[in-house]
Amino acid sequence: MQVLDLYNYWVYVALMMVGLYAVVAKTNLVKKVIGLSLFQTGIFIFYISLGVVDGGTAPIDWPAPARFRQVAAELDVPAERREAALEALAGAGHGDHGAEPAAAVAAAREALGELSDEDAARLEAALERPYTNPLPHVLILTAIVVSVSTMAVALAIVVGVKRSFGTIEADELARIELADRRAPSP
Amino acid sequence: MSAGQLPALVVVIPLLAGVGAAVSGRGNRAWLLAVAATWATFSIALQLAVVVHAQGPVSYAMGGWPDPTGIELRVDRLSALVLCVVSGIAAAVTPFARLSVAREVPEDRQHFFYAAFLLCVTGLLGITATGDAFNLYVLLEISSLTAYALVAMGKGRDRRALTAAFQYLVMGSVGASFLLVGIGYLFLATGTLNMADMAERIAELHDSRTVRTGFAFVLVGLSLKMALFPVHQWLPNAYTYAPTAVSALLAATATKVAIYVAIRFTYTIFGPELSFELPTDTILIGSSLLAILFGSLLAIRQTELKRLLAYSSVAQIGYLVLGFSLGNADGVTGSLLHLVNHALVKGALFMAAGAVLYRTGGARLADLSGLGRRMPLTAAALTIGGLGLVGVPLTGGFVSKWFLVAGALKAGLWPVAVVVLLGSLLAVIYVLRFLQPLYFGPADFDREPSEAPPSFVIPTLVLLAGSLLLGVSGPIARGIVRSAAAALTGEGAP
Repeated sequence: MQVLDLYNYWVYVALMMVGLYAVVAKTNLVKKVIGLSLFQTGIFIFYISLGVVDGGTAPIDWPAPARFRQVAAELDVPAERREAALEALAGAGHGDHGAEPAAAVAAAREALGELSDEDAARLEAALERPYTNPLPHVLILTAIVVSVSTMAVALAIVVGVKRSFGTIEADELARIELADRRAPSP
Repeated sequence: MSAGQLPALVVVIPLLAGVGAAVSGRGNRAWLLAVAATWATFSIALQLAVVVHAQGPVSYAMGGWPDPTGIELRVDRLSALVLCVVSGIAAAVTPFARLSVAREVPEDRQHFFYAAFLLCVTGLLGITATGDAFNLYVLLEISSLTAYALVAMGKGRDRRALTAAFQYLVMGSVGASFLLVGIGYLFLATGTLNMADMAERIAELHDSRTVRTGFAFVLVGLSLKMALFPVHQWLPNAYTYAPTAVSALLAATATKVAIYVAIRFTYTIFGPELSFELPTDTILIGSSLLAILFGSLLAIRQTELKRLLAYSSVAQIGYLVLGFSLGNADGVTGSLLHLVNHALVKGALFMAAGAVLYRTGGARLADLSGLGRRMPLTAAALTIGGLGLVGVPLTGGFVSKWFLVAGALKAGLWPVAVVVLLGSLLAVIYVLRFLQPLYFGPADFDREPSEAPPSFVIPTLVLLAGSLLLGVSGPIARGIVRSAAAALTGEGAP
């Protein structure tokens, strides 16, 4: 069912809500910081899920002949036909990044001869080679850096609070501050 | 230097100066570097504004990567206006900061203070100049993190600065994270992060739940950042306990930039039709009216000047949000004029409060007693600033409120106009609350009369002069701002 297939989005929502709950409901300042961290981690998972492409591999440039050869080997295509197809591919020139020109693909298919539909589809997929979108990953690296910096500043402030007030429980802090307010500050 | 470089310079100069300040060690070097950097940035912002008005938007491709795949810095009329305001405020607050910071921040931390100050300014200017949505998030976090640290530096004077900074951090981070989620949904729907490109693609996606969800998250995130009622809780404590220079800077710029981002998302990226299809205007108008009323009422109850000014800011932010959520050019003009006016006036008022703090050691209303005679210039500044908040004719506040009321009437919402005027009446009450002890309170003649040093008084009066200029040169200001507003809402120039 599609709802269950989208489980990574459910995880992201759950993490966000758990984190937000911790931020709001916990009285210990460090627990609030942990909640904030959970909240932001949920968002990272959301972004990574954005970039996923069905059947996609890592976005590493992998020359067409090598991957074609590998998939063809898995499909038990006879060696001569494989080499003929590869020559056809090479002859038509290197296509756009990630995709081979249609003419080369057609020539390669012809050279391969009879193939079941499934095998043909796999070979074509190897040539088209969808890859996962790397941009959200880059965005998340930036967001992780921001999150780490936020944690650092937050914890530095918590250390300062502990030193100045002697406690890091929000309710005790509120009581101390109320007393501060009643007694005029020096 | 070529005009195309200006948008990048406006961000890079304070950034490099911030790094320089961090390594400059004790003494005045950090402050001198900060003054030089902020003044240079202000002059560049002015140049940029002139170029933009003459030639149209200026665009700079970071690293030479062309948009829409690369990060683009794009300055149009609205951005140029806000850039001038932010850099101008920074240029005024930095000279003020020398003595104020020397009093409030421990000596071995002062160069880090200026480093954080400059990085905050970098972030704010970058947010205004950028044309890329994710770049906006990163710069927003840069300005926010440094702001949290700057607020925490007030702990030398009052340890409550630390809890105020923590609350600001938590609420601000949640807000920025919501903005991040919103940008994620927009990226999911459009496949691009460049704002102009996104605007085009969203226009083609007519009924997309993803886009609407993204918009909702973005607006909620920004509401936290601009302290819109009811998520304004961080603002009073943060402004009260921060070092005065920080209060002056943040009060005048941080929330204004967040409002600029909201206007940018509502009008440029989503476009007025989509934004107001959802009950955006109802929610925003409702929140802003509550902000005006509650902010003003709470300000009346305060006994400490900085806290009073902070609650007044909550109310003024209500006016700003009201303006752009009305959906017509008059409303947006009012919002932008009020943005400029409030930045100038609040910056000046906080600096005047800093002068009082410097001379008397406290900023409670009781401490203001009799200062009308002992500190005449500072008292004059508080008076003019107060009148500017109320919106008395001849001040900038009057012009902006005029447009807000006009926009409300044009949208057919006369109760909103009534609330705007009611807010002004409430402002009269809380302004009188601090003017009354100034001029009618008993003066303590045991202490020597002493005006604040020039470095306090001059920037304050300069900012107020700017606000009065806005008030009297109505047609000029109106023309400049109106063209920006018209460009945003798509209505023709009047």
